[in-house]
Amino acid sequence: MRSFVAWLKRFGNLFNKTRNERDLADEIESNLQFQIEDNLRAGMSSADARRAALLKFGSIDGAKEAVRERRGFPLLEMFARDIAYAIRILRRDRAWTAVAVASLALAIGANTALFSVLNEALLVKLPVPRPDELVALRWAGQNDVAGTLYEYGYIAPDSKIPGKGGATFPHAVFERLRDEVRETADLFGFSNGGTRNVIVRGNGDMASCQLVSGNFYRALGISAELGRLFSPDDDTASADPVIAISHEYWQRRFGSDPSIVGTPVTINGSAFVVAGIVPTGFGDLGLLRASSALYIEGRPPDVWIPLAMEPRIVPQNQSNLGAGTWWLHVMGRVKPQTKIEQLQARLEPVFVNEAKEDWARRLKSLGKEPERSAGTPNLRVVPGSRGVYDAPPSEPAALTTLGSVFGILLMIVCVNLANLMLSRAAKRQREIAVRASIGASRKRLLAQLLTESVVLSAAGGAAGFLVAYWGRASYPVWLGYKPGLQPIDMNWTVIGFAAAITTLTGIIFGIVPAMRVSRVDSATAMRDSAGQINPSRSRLGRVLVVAQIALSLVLVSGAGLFLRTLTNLQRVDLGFNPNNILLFSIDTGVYQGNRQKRSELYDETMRRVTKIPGVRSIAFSNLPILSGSSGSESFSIEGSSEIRSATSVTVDERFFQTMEIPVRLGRAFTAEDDRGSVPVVIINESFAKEFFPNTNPIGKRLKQGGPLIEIIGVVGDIKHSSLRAPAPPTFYFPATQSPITVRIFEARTTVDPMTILPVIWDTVHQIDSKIPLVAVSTQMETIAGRLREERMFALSSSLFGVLALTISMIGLFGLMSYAVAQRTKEIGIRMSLGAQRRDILRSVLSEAMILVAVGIVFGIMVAQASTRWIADRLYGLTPHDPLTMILAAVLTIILAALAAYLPAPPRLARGSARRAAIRMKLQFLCASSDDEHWRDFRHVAPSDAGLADFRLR
Amino acid sequence: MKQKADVWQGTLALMVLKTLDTMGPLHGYGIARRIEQTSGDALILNYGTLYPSLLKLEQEGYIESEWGVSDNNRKAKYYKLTRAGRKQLEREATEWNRTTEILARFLSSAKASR
Repeated sequence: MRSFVAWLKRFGNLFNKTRNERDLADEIESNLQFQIEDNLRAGMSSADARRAALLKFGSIDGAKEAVRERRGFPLLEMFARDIAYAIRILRRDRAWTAVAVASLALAIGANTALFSVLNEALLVKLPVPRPDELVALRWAGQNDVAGTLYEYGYIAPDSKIPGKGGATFPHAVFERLRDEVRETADLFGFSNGGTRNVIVRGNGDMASCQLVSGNFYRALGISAELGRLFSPDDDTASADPVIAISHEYWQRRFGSDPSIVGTPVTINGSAFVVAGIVPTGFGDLGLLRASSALYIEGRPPDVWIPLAMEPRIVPQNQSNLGAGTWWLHVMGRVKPQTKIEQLQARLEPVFVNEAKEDWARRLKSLGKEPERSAGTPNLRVVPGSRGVYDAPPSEPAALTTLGSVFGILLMIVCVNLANLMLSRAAKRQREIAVRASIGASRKRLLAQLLTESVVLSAAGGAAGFLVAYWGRASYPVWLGYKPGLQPIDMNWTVIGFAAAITTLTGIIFGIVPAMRVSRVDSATAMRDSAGQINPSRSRLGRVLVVAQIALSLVLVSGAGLFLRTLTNLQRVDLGFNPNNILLFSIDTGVYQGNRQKRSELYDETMRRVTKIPGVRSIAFSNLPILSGSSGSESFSIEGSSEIRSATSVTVDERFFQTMEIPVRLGRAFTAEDDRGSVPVVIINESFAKEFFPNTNPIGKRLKQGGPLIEIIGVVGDIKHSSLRAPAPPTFYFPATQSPITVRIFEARTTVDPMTILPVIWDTVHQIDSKIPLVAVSTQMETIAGRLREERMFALSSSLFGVLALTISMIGLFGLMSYAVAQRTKEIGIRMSLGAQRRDILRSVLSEAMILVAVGIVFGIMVAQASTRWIADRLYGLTPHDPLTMILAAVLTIILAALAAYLPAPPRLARGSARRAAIRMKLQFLCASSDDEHWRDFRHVAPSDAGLADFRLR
Repeated sequence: MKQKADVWQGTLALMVLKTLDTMGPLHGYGIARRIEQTSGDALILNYGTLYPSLLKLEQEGYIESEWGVSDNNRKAKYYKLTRAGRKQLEREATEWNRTTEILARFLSSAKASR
C-alpha cells in the first residue's frame, strides 16, 4: 500500500518538474550555507569556508541526479526525452527525413497491401459455419467414361496419378455416392446453371443461376434470411418448382421487398415460385471465379434452382441429368469423427463401378455396345473448406513473386536508410563525442540512436499504412482479378502486420549505424574539427551501396523479363486477325422450347447486322475465341476403336472467312453442308499432325456415335484458349449440321467496333424488345483479358524496378556527396599539386563505378539464381535472357554514373578554393620530410613526375 | 588515519528516523551533522545518498517536509517525523535490535566453539 502511494507520488512528480528542481536547488544551497557558516565559525576565511563546504558536500550534480532518479520514473522520462530529441533532430533535416519516410512508406505500404491480399487469398475459407468439416470430391487419371465434360476452374494435377483431373461428376454417380455414405457424410451436388432470362411481374432481365441438390443448404448450414430454402423434397421432378434468390439480387432487383417470397417468376419460359432469400455473405463455392464471357463474374449467383428442375430451364433434350455428362460438383459435410481417408476408401469402389455403368447407359442410349477397356479415373476426397477448385498455380506463384519483389524492395529501403543514417551519424560524430565525454554511456547513446530510427520508421509505418489503406481497392487488380470484385478488408491481422514490419524495419536499419557510431573515441572525434574519413565507416557504406545496386539490378532485370514477355505475347501469331471484331450475342431464353422462333431470331439478327454500314461480314460460333471457355468431344477414327478427344467448336460457313483463318487444304463449309448432305468436319493443322501424320486427312472419316463424319478441310492453327499454349487439336463442326442453342456472333467491322455497338443495340431491340443483347466485347478485349496477369506483372515489376533504382541512386548520391565532402581537403591538395578537374573527377567517379561494377556482378549472380522461380511466367525467352540482363546492367550503370557525378562538381570548386591555403601546409610538410606524409601524398599526386617536380622546388 | 565507513542505504533510513525522533524537526544539514556526530565521526554521509533517502521516506509518508526559518534567520527545508514514521521507527528498531542480538550471539558462539 505504502509503495503504491509512493508510486503515485512519483507519478505526480512527472508533472511539476520545475518546482521540484527549484526546491532541490534551494535545499542544497541552504545546506551549503549552513556548512559555510560552521566553517566561518571555525575561523576559516570566507573563500576557504566556501571551498571547504563544497568539498565536503561532494558532487552537487551527482546528488541532484540521485534525487531525480528517486523522484519520477527516470527510464520512462529518458525514453520520452529521447523521442522528443529524435523528433527535433529529424525536423532539423527535413529533406533527409522526407526521403527516408517516403521510401519507408512505399515499402511498408506495399508489404502491408500484399499481406492483406495474401491473407484474403490464402487464408479465407468458405463463409459457412464450420467450413473445416467440408470435403470436396474430385477425380484423377485417365477418364474414358465421360461423354461430355464440363470444367469451370483449375484442378492441380495429382502427384501420384498421371493424367488430368476433374471435379465434376454425372448426376447418377452423385446420387449413388450420396446414398452410399448417408450416415457419415452429407454429400451435396451443385452446378452452374448459366445466365437465364428471369421474368417477374412482367419485367424480364438476366440472372445468374446455380443448380443445387435438395440438401445443399442443410449441408452447408445456411438458413433463409426470409421464407425458406430448399429441402430434399424440392429436388424431385414432381415437386412444385421453387427458386431461392440471393440477398444481393433481392436488394438490387426488388428493393428488398419482402412480398417477393411466394411470388411466381418465369425462368426461360417455365413457372417457378420464390421460396426464400439466401443471406448475404454467402457467395458461390468457387464456381463463378472461372472467367468466361458468358458468366456474370465475381458475384454470388442471383438465383438457386433445385437440380431436378434443370430440364425446365435448358432447351429440350439438352438436359445434363442424363447419363455420360460430367457436370456436377460434389461436396459434403462429414460427421466430426469421420476421416477423409475412410470416406475415400468407402466411396472409391462405388464410384468406379457407377462411373462405368453410367458410361454403359450412355452408350446404350446411343445404341452402342459397352466397351470393356474404358479407363475409369480414381476418386479423390479432399478438404473442401476453400471450395471445389485449387487456386490456379499462377495465383500463389503470383503472390510469392510479388512477395519477393516487395521483400527485396523493403530490403533496399532498409539498406538505404541504414546508409542514410550512417552518413548523417558521421556528420554528428562531434555531437556524439561531446555527449560521450560529458558522461553519456554507450548504452545511452545506442538507445538514443535507436530511438531515432524507430521514430523514423514509425512515421514511415503510419504513412505506409495510409498508402496501403487508400490503395486497397486496387489489390484485386494487381492480382489480375477484375476491378470492383470486392475491396479487401483491413483487419487487425493486417494492422498488426504493419506494426510488426515497421518496428522490425526500424530496428534493422537502426542497429548497424548505431553500433558503429556509438563506438566513438571521444578524444579523437573532438580533436579533428574537419572530420576525418573514418575508414571503417566508409567501408560499411560501400558494402551497403553494393548491396543496393545488386538488389535493384535483380528487380530491374525481373521487370525487363516481364516486359519482354508481355510484348512477346502481344506479338504472338494468333492465327487469325483479332482487329475490329465485335463479339456479341442475344438472349432468347424467353422463347424457351420454341426452337424455330429462336433460330429465326438469330437469323434475323444476323441478316440485319450485316446490312449495318461499317460491318464487313458476320459469322457465329458456339463459343468466343480466347475467352477462356472451350469444349471438347471424343471421337474415333474410322478403322480404329481407340477413343480420342479434341477441342471442338461449332461454326457457321462464314466463320473462317470472317476471322481470317486460312484454309490450308480442302475447302471451308458452305451453305450446302446441311442436314440433308453428308456430315462434314474441318480440322486444324495440329489435329492433322496429331492424328494423321504424313497422310492427307481430306476424305478421312471420324466416328462419333452417329453416321461417319467426313473431313473436308484443314485450316490454320489459332490460339484457342491460351496465348501461351500451342493450338490444341481442334475440329470445327458446321452449325447447319449440329445445331447450337447459343450463338456468339463475330462481326468484322471496317471501323472501331465499339462505334457500331449502339446501332447493333437498336437493331436487336427493333427485332424483338424482349430479347436483350448480352456478352458484348471486342476480340481485342478478350485477348487483353487473357493478358491481364502478364500486364499486371509487367506493370508492377517495372514500378518496383524504378522505385528500387531510384532509392539506390539516392543512396549512392548520398554516399558520394559524403565521400567527396570528406575529401575536400585532399582534393584541394591534389589540385594544388597540379591535378586537373578532369583527373579529380575521374578518380571520384572511378571509385563510385567500382562499387557499381561490384554491385552489378553480384546482382547478376543473384538474378541468375532467382529468376528461375519466374521461368513459368515468361514467354519467348529464358529467365537468363542475356539481352535483358545487359539492358538492365547498362541502365543501372548510366543512372549510377549520373548519381555519382552530380555531387562532384560543386565540391571541386570548393576544393580549388582551398588550393592556396593548402600550398602553405604542403611546404611545411615537405620540409618535415616525414616519410609517412609522403606516402600519403604519393596516392593523391596526379603523377610521380609532378611529385618529383614539386620536390625539386 | 582512521578509516571512515560509508553508511549503507538500509540503515540510513533508520538513522534518519531516529535522529528526527530525538531532535525534532531538522534540516538536511542538521540531520547529516547529527548522524556524523552521533557516530563519533566514524561515518561520513554522502548527500547523494541522504537526499534520495529523505525523498523516499517522504514519499512513503514516514516524514514530512516544510520550508522554515533557522535560528540565524536562514531559510531551510525542515523534516519532521509523522505518526506513521514513529511506528515505522519502533518496528525497524525492534527488528534491528533482534538482528544484531542474533548476530552477536552467533558470532560469540562461533568464537567459543573454535
